[in-house]
Amino acid sequence: MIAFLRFLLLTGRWFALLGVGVIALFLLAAVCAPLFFSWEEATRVNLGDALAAPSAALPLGADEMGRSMVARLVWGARVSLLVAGLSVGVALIAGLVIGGLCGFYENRLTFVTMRAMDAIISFPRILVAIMLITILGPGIVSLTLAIAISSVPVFARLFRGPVLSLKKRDYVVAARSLGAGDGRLLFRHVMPNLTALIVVQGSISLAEAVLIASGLSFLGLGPQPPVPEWGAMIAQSRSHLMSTPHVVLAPGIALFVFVLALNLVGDGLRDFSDPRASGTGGR
Amino acid sequence: MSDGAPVLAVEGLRTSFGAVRAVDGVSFSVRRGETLCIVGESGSGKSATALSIMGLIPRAAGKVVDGTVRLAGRGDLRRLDDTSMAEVRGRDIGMVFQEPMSALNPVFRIGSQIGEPLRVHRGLSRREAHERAVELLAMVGVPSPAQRALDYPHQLSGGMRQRAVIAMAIACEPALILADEPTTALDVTIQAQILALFEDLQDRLGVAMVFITHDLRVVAEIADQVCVMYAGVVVEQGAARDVLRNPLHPYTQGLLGCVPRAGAGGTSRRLNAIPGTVPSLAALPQGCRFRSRCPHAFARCAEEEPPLLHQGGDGRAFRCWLTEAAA
Repeated sequence: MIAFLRFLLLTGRWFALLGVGVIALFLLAAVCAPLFFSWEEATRVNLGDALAAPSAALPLGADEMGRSMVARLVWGARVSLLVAGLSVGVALIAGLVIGGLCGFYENRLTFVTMRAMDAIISFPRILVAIMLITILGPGIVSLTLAIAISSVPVFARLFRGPVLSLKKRDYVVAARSLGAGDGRLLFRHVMPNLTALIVVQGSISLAEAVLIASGLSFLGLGPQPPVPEWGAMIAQSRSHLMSTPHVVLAPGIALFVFVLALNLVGDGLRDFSDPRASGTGGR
Repeated sequence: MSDGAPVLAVEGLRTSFGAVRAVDGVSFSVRRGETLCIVGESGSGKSATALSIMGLIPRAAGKVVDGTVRLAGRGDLRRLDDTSMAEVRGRDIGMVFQEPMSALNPVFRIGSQIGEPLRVHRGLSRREAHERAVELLAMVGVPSPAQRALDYPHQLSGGMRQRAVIAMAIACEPALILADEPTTALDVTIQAQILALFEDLQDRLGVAMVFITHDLRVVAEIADQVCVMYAGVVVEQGAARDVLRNPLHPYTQGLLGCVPRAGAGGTSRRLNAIPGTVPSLAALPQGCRFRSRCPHAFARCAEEEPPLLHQGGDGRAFRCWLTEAAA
């Protein structure tokens, strides 16, 4: 982490640094949400304040139910991060296991597995996720699961390639010649060489997962009201876009900034893990 | 130096990669404290022999089709199942590879890699394995071993890396060291150091060693026994001293003619070269495999392949009709 920040500073990758700062801010907001605003504030209907303009008491105004926008945004960050983080974590581990095994053992079973992965990839991810939620029923758990399952094939394919070549490296043969078994070879000798790939793809997938999560929530497939979720907030308030734009724009901007920051950090991480891949030393 | 029953006895080993017979009936044995060198050009089946002994021929590519590989106390390695074979690897046989850089995993510290066989075979804890790794590094002549154990492979020089690979191979005190061209990737001064290290380790540990090389100077330096391989078969074998002084096969004679000598006589002479190349193993000529490149080939050589002819009782053998006629 410190090495990464130092790399960004020394090579003048200011946008990536900005991304790190923004993510840190969102993370802080998400983790400390209960310290700033109670769950009550974020969910209690108070029609007296409906669509209130920004003021000292309500810094970003209130939505059509009179709930503080700031409180809902902060709690929404918690939901987004939870869903995205968990789904990417689950997908990453599943993808590593599937991709790793399918790369390590080349037989009929792994061949069929990979073709199945290809079949899933050929559908747009959001469509796969919608299908899964239709089966599982809407909610925060099924949203997380749906996003995870729809991104497993991406990880599996991504990790299989390097495993195919890594398993033929001399040091893997050398480890075998010293008595290491298959499991040890795959998990101890091959997979640690995927670290850079995992970190880079993980950060980019996180951005994607946040987008898909709010997209699905926008469609009403995510956490149900009154749970604050950015995508759902946009959906609920979108009829007020012309009269009181701040209730729609605030969650939209939060989403935009967060996803942008994740992508910027992802780019920074890619350059960090392989400096040759980037053209110039940043801007 | 040698005594008792062989540590490793290979009998009639045959390994095929599809239709290609990379190893075609190789037999040899090594005793405790003895060094056997397998010499030959690229593609002569040296490395395939080593991998066959270890049971490391990739299953998708080829397999050992015939022969026995007897290791003292373990029986025929070819009959062992995967689990027992994995126990033999690293514990009873230590293998050293040609490229020290690629034989070390770039993402692990040297010490943890050397300690790994100890953790696998002896069940040592991480800390015990690390302490032992430092001792092993000291044993193979790495200066300030405690610091080096914490380095990553790219932080070490080529010679130091090869010492680390050797430390890995001897970690469990194997009965046999199998070294596949361990000095080829190193520069000459380092080569000499590594050879000296092998000899020193052999004296101290009394291991049997199979040393694969294409360099006859290495053979002259360390070998007790020699196997000269050509196109998948042993064309000549015997005590190193005899084979080097009095080669009986035209191929061995040709190889010895290729070695540059710093002139004892001072006369500069053109280096000999053996004309032609090793025949494709997929399309071997009828008769003697060396026939097309042999300066002495005659009619019989094209008709039938010479068997391994034994001479005397000390394991001296060769495959040549010509020498048979002369003998």
